[in-house]
Amino acid sequence: MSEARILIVDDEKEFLDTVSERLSNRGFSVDAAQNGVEALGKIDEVAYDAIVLDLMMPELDGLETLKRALQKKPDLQVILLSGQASLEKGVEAMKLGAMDFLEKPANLDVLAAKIKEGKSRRMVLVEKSREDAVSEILKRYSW
Amino acid sequence: MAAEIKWQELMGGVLAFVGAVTASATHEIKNELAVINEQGSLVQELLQMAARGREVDPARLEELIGRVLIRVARADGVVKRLNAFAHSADLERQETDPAQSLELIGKLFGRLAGLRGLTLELAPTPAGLVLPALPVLFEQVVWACLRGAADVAAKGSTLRLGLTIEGDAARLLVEGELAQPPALPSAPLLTALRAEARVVEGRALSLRLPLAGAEG
Repeated sequence: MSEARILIVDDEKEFLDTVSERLSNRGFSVDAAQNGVEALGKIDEVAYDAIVLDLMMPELDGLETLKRALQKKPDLQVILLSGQASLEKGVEAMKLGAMDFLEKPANLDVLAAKIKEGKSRRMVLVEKSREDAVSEILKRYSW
Repeated sequence: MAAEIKWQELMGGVLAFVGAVTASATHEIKNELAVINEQGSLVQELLQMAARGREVDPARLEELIGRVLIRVARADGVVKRLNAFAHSADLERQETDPAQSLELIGKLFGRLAGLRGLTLELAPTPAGLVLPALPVLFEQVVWACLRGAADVAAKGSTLRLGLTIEGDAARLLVEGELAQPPALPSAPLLTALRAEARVVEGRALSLRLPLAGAEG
């Protein structure tokens, strides 16, 4: 079983390929997308444990992708990974619901640990939403 | 009578311009470093696997190292451009070679154009022209024209940047598929350069700049 099912989104193809290979070597199941639009399409199809998202991309930037991704899947754990050294965007991303913000170049051990943390957080949220759904049914039928 | 130069506003604009160029170029360098970091780390991990007995293809390692070297060269290119740009603000330099400045700003703006899904084309600039202006001011006005045009250009379209001679002046033109009239460079900047800016039929931004030796 894989460590986690993840999606990496970055417009820099060589970065995407190399990070994907390194994370795959560590046991993660990795999908890749080169822009926000492609990422949103994949999010519709797969229940990812976490997504690793670049901030500055053509077409749809990271913050907009983050917003739309969380609208689709509120329990999704998003880790922003950006070359932008300023904290401003990171703070904005956290306010929008990102799980964390890492600066490029990132230490892969740190990124892998964040992804695992994201998977745990998501499992808690999924479990809670299941419990809520069950208690809603019980309430509705007065059981 | 020549219009008075508003120095405080002018210098505020220069600072913002230098900041914008520096932010963009350093971001570009960080992206290159991130790729170098990933590729270098992958080589290291493959070598560690080989030490543990797993077979690693030497051609794969060679390919990765080759890519690292290409990325180092690219990062070096950005650093050189940033260094050349830093010298644009030398106050002793009262004249500008527009060909040099256009090439520099064209390359520095290329990344921002790409992020907006635009392609930037630079037409060859006539050699030997001299503008009686600080390079940083000319470069700022070129950047402002490109920004103005990029803000209203159709996604996926091409912006064309070129400079031609028109009597005793130079004509800078930024053309493209512009959805609406682009914003003009700031008045203090135009005044300092003795430049006239206008929008041509909603599809281009045109700037007339006096050449060195022309009457003020």
